[in-house]
Amino acid sequence: MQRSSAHDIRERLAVRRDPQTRVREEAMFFGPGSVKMFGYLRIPEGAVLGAVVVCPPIHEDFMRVYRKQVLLARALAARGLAVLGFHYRGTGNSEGEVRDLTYDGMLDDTRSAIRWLADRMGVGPGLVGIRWGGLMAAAAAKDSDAPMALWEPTIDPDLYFREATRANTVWHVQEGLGGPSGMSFEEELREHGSVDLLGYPVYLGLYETAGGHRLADELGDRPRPLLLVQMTRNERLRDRYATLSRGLEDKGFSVDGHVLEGEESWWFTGVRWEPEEGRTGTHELVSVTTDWVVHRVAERRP
Amino acid sequence: MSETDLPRASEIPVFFPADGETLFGIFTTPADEAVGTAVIVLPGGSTPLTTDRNRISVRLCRRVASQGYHAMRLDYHGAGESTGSLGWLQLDRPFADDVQGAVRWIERQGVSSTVLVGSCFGARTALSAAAETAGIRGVVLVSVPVRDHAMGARASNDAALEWSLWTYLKRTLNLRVIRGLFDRRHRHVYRKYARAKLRKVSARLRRRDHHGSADTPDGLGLASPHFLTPLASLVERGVPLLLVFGTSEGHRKEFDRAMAGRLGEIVQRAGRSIEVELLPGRVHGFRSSFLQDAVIDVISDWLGRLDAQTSSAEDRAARPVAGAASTE
Repeated sequence: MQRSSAHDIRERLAVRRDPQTRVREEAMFFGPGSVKMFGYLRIPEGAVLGAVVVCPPIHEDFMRVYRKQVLLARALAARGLAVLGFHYRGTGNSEGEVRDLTYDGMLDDTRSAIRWLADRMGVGPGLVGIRWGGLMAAAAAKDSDAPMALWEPTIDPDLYFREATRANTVWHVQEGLGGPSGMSFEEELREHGSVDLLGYPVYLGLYETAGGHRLADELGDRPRPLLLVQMTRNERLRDRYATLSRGLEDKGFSVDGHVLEGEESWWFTGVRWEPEEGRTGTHELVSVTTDWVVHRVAERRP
Repeated sequence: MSETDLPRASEIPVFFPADGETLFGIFTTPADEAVGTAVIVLPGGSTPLTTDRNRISVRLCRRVASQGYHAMRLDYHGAGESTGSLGWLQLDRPFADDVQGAVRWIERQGVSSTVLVGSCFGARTALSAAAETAGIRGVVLVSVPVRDHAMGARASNDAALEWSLWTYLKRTLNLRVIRGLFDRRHRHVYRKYARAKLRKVSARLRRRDHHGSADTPDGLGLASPHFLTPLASLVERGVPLLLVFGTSEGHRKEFDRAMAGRLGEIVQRAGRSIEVELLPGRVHGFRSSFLQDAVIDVISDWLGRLDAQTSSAEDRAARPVAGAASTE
């Protein structure tokens, strides 16, 4: 009987084959240097039309979207794309420590993942960036014309940390654990070296190195196709995304915006938990993104 | 203690079969001499992944590996990279099959003894699986719910137990709640609270509280039989258990309340084989990195004592019995 999964302890690689979709799945530790990233690759057994790297979010967002991300990767692979998901060093299952996380380190990891997949598949990959991963995707592909799908991308790290701090304060007040300390997030960071945001310590290194890296700048000036997905109950693109879209279109980017029902508060997992596959919003999110990415990646084929 | 202070363990990704699905996990092997036992870490229902919140499962696995334990963390079926699909999580239907799959895979690697560590839904899964599994050296239950409720229903069930009908009326008759009746999501929450109270009232009317027992099978009693039965079984077998709660969390209050019933009898019978550790604040949900570290320290210390107890028991077993005749 043919084994459908195998493990190579030396290579720190596990392989399985999905008999329904005929996709080979590889879970591994990879990357240059001694501190390895965790990665998960899906390769169709038939004709491979292209490749995609999925740049993940961090902190609570990582937990919140993980299954959506997996469903997307499966859908893309079923349509003929090789898909690599990875965890930045110091996050997820990767080696390294969260205290050493910096913007530049995460960008290095993203570039390593892109290079690794390009070498493996012989083609430059398209990108999907989710929340903070949107910044990483944009920065890593700044000088390329790779198509890019962004789910609720972080527009500005300062805004990201402000929203996180607000959620932290709300939770503490709701739980009767006291109100704000009276110090700003930055003041607390500089005083203590780290601040705990709902169970996730944020260190000064990440905050300082991320400052000033806005999504509009990281996307650069080289036009490319871009899908911008907003996941809230609003009917129109939020002002920040509408402004971003207009600015990119002025630079010659082709921007498709999509609004669908999704997360309202990214920092509160489990309050109204429901199985991911059962959510209407998830089906639409995966379907819209898959159709767009497959179409755009296929367009680039020589 | 940071990971860089620990001896470097080796981790490999693994796939293993469990009840018709293929589950994903990460297996950690100790850097130094192995004690021959694997710790399987089972996450809570709202964070059903190998990592759990802020990588607490990752950090725990690497810490126990520094003590000589193998470790496994996994994605439940239907979660993370595992196949299958997750339905609504219910505490009386934990994922014992997922654990059995992990245990069988670990046994094939030559490690036949296991410690199960779980939080919340993971704790109920650990308890249920341990009762059905041979070779369990110990079980750690972090913020274990002693009653049954579906994911997201604990608050409504607590209210059904604690609020009188007059309290329900007072809370309902205000403008905010009335406005909420026009919102689909709020109506869903109000229905949950109303149903929970109706179940409690109808159970009381049917006089299901037999023989003055504080534990009722209606899901709103003090402790579920799905908690008490496996716990009693482990106590009978002499399996050491560590329970960890936050001092101000709901699950700790539930536990204390349930001690008035059959749970109290079980704990008394267990004697020193059940330890209860209280940490300040709310452990459930791991919303504090300080408490995450404290939980890891508590578990690590307990495992150290567990290993020492077993080693001295093995030493005692190996020593010749005084007065026995030589067979040579």
